Amino acid sequence: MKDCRSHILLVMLALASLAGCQTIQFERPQNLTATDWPTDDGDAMRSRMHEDSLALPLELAWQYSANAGFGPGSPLILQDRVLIANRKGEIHTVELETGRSRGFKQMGDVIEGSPLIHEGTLYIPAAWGRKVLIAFDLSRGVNRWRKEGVPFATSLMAHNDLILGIDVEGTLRAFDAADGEEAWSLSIGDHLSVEASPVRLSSTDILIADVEGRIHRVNLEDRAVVWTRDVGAPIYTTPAVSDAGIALSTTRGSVHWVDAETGQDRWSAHINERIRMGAPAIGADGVILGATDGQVRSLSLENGNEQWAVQFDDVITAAPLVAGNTVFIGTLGKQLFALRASDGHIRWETEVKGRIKSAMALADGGLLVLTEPKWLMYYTPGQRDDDDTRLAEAGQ
Amino acid sequence: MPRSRIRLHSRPAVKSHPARSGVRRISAVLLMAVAMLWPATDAWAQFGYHFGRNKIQYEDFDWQVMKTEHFDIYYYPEMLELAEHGAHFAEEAYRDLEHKFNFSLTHRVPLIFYSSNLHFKQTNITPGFIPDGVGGFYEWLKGRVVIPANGNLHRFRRVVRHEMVHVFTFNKITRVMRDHRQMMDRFIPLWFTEGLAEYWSGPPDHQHEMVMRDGLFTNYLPPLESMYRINGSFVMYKQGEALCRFFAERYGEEKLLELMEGAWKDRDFRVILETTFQEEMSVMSAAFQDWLKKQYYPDLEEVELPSIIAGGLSTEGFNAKPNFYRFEDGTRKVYFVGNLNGLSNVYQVPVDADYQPLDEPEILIEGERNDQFEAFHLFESRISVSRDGQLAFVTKSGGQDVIHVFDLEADRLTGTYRFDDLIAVYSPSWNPAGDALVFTAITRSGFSDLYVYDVARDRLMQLTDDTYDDRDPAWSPDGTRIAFSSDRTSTGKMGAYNLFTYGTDTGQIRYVTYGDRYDLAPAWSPDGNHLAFISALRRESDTPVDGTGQTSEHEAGRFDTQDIWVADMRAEPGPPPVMATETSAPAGFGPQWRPLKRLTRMVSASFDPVWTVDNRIVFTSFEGLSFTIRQLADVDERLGTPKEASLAALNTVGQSWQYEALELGTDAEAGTYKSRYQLDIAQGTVSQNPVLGTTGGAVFAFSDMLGDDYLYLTVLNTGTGRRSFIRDLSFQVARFKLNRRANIGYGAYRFSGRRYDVTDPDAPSGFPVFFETVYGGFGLMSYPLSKFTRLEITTSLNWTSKDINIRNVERDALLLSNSVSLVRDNALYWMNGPVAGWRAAFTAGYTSDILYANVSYYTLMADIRKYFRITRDITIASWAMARINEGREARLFVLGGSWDLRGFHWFDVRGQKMWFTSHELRFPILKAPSVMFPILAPFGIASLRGTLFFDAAHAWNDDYHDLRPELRSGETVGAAGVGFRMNLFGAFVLRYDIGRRYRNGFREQDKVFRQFFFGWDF
Repeated sequence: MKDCRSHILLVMLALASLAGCQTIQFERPQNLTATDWPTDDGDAMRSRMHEDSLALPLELAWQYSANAGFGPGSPLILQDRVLIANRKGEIHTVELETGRSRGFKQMGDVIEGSPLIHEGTLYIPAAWGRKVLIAFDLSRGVNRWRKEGVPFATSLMAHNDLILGIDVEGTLRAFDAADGEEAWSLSIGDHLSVEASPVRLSSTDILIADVEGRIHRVNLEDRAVVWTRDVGAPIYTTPAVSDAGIALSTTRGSVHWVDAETGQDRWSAHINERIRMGAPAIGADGVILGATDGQVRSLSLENGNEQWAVQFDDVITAAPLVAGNTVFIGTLGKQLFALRASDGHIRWETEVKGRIKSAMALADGGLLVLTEPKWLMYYTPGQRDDDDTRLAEAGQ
Repeated sequence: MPRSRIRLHSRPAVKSHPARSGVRRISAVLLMAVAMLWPATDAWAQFGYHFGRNKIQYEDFDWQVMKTEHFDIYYYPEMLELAEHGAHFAEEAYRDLEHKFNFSLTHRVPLIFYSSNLHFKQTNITPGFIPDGVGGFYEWLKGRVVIPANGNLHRFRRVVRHEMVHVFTFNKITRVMRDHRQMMDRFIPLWFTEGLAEYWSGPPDHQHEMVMRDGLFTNYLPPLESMYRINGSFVMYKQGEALCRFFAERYGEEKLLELMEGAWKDRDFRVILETTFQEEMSVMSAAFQDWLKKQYYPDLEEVELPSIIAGGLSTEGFNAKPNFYRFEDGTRKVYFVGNLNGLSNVYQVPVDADYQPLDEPEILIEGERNDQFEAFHLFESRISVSRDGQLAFVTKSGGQDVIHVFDLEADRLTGTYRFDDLIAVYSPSWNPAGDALVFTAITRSGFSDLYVYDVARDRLMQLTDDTYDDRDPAWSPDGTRIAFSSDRTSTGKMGAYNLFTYGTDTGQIRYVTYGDRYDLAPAWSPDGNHLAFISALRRESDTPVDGTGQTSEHEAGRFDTQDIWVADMRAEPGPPPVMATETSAPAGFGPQWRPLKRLTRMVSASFDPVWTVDNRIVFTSFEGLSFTIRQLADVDERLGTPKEASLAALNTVGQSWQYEALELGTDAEAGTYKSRYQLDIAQGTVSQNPVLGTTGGAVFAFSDMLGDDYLYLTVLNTGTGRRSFIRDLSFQVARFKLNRRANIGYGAYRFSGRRYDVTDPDAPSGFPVFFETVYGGFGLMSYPLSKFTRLEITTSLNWTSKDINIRNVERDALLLSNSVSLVRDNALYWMNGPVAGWRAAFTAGYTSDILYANVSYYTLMADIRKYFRITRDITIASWAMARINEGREARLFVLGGSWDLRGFHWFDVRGQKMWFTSHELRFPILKAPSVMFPILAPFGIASLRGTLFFDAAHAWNDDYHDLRPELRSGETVGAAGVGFRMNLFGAFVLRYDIGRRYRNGFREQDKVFRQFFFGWDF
């Protein structure tokens, strides 16, 4: 009888423990700091360029199993924790210092686009199922509201008190952040789908790129399209925006550097119609991106000329991450590289646990990498070399 | 899985899986299956046998490995040059598919090459028989790609690419599903995966155009919603390809990838289609029909139907490769290779002066029933008739092809010619004197060249020796030239074939036609002035075919219809340019041209013209998904008013070409193949039996990369408690080697636990359960004498200890059992079982207790089954079987159940001796249920047949009439009734029998019984 009681107690403790894991809570999540990344790449311009630099070589600090694969966006960072959404519809929070789980929660059916942290609430886009947009109160650990409708497969944005998302049918929808009521919507075309996440051009304008190869500048105040431009090839990757312009890549081997005011090309580079370009990043003086031919190219912001190119063995789809004078590249060949931003020289490389298909994130002096099949890997500056990690260049 | 396979001119084709072969049982597989059941059968000296044809390892391949950047390529030294080309093709495909799939593989892909289809047929990577039309396959368990070359590098390249699309598709979808943490519990429809593999392999070939035109004009292409109706068929490949092209054009090439990336969304592919394209299926389907019509309907104004313009000589089944002979008495007959009822034969049909058939086609040479005529290459090899009536044709016989000569006048086979170094042989053609044959052959190197065999002098000469594909040779009436088709033309790298002549005196090869066209099957007019041939022109392309602007080949236009053309061999302003070798450029002699006339503009395709002495052209036509033999009467009129007249501009011929290759040692690392076991299956099992209790266990199966070496580990436990775990532990280790002609197996085992064995003479007959521990080992050898016949030898040594509680008996024995069996099987399987042919097995065995001498008996078994095919759909099947176990403590044989003695339970009838006979009339009820009632199609109901049956048996021990009711021995029992058979998905047969059973020599009848079970007819 005593044995029986102790078994029941153990089971109850285990259940309680599991239940505890299935919560996500933060203290004062509305207080964002400069080191937080409330959206993919930290900012909705998604330039992938950050001033912080990392000392090489890096070494693996920890790795975390997130149960499933990830969309193309980067992890989010809030306070001392990493938030990742997976394609199983779960949100995981991981302690940045240790890699320990700080809770996870099943949200939608499938999460493809990056969630958004806004005013203490996590907004989650679901790419399938009945509940397509969920507002989760991070301080209380409960849902605030859930919306049904057409799914969202790309990242969300915030504008004032509105949450914005492009649904899979190509309609831009704005929801009241407080109660989820749809404030307005704007269709940008019939039978249109959007694979690229929207990016912010200014405090009032965003850019939407569709798979037909058109880009649309939308003024959120007027709820109107400012201009539309056809770049001539489908766009499946999220553009990168800086104050200087918009970097776009297409599935037919072209790269465009677009004037945000007019929508016209400042230059375009037609590299090879057969190759599919990866997501772009904007470096200090060039647009940097990989492609299915395994090359990473830096194209001059000035004129689009190739400044340097590095050939790798495998396809590169994920957006590069520019950290100071270093460009981090993840490949579908399970390799992570650090290149010198000025000339593309390989400074460091390591093998990771799976293909890298998602954007990376910088956090607390380290690098967060999402890999197949389910891993969040955290690299921090290290001092030693080992079998898996080596310096490709003696003098860094 | 393709149910029907159409093979056209070109030897290679698209990937498929063997269909019927899955039905036929194969000796090597069953050898293993039997051995896996060893503890339950032969270990206790109950001999068994099994039917099935033999997959024979004729060649002892010396496998080597070539390591390229992404592939481990398995090849044998004789085909090194071909493997180097294949390595280049694979890496080339890999690079291209990385773009298309936006994906990289993170593992090396094993590519296993064979240099010919006949070698490919010997592969152990798939257990089934591989029909001629299979161009290769992808096996996902080990991720292996298996591809034969067959003389045509362009086609080899395309098949490599096709299979690589499958590799990428499988890995991509697997990745997508794992990313979403979903089980691989769904399959993307075959029409999409195969259609995509075709579409991304290159521009549409002439076969694609042939099928699509025919399907559209004769209205058999199903709408998008009903693609399952043609699942596995050749049409599915081509319509799937067209659908992928349509999707790419309408929605964008990238959407094809989106379909794969959306595989997680739903098990129903229609949902994925609709959500990806954001259109309803009906809209997509209608748009596809419109898209097709826009392409092909403009041709309707001009096209001719073969069934209207050309008289039919044989219009049922599949017919091809006609030829003609006028006998000395004036009788005319047309000969062809056909498959009218499931087996390939050479047929003859008598015709009158107007070439109207005087009778139904009748079989001249029976194929696929014996070792000599093991298989005809139905759509690949032409036949030839000499002026004096010698019919030359090719069959597979053993590990290679042979040429047979049949004297039509004397009505007898006069010669069979086998050439040691020539593996595959195609299309023999007589010289005018009828004493030499020119033909195409493929050696172990995998390249196709022309050879001449001087029959009278028994001398073989090689005419061409290069990497080009030389085919369809035809000797001119004056004997000075041999016309043939070849890709040695400068446009051959794009897949084009042109006609050439080989000067028998000079050895020079000269152009006859030239251009981006597909010229095949030349046939001389009797006067030698004209050369009839088949040609499909490639049209100019308006836009890049796949939208990627990939290469010039991918921008190539579509093929026109494949029609009969005639080249004027008289008019030559100068000798046509020489095209001698792959290293030389053609030598020109100023402007040359040759008049060409197009005689027909058929709906889809014509093949294999033969110009008869009566100035008619007999040919094969494709119409309404059927290959028929027809004759064109108005040849002169058509020559006067051709459908199209053009000049072959021979002065514009370009340079010779070669495909690139990865050189071993420079571009790829060399290695030697070492057999290493890799896990195939690890499976746990738990079963519950009311008598034996719970049994738990696991099976681990390992095999090597080439499927030549198998290792099985089996562990079982029937124990009921911790203490009995060791006592009731059973295990077996068994190994099977299949890489030689003789398949061997051996193993060791311990079996311990309670057994239920109605055949054991020690067991109580009422409740035959006892405890037994056996330690032993076994050896098996199966030696195929031919595809149809084999010898099987088994031996086992078992120490056995029985504890029969009910009878309070303990018995130990050391049993040695040996047996030998002769098995023959040439039965033709159809949906529910054999419909023609026969099979038999004769077994002799001896078992003795070599320690205590308590057991000593011999075994004799005979089993004969014959299938009389009354009509195409009706068969009478007869089965006779006798078995004897004679001696001390001989075991009992058993009968009963749906598979033999119906109306009786399993093991109901037992005896040391027995005879059994069964007869069935098998007939169709609904031949194509899903066509008649489409609602049945999703349930996979492939056929519905009926049977009238009669079974009879008699079992006894010492005295034939010694009645023992508990064994139902000593009396003749039987059953008669009616049964129904339903085939599901082409794989499972459900059986339902209703009958009345009889006892006491059929003097007493029991109540009506009903039995439901599954399994093939006997």
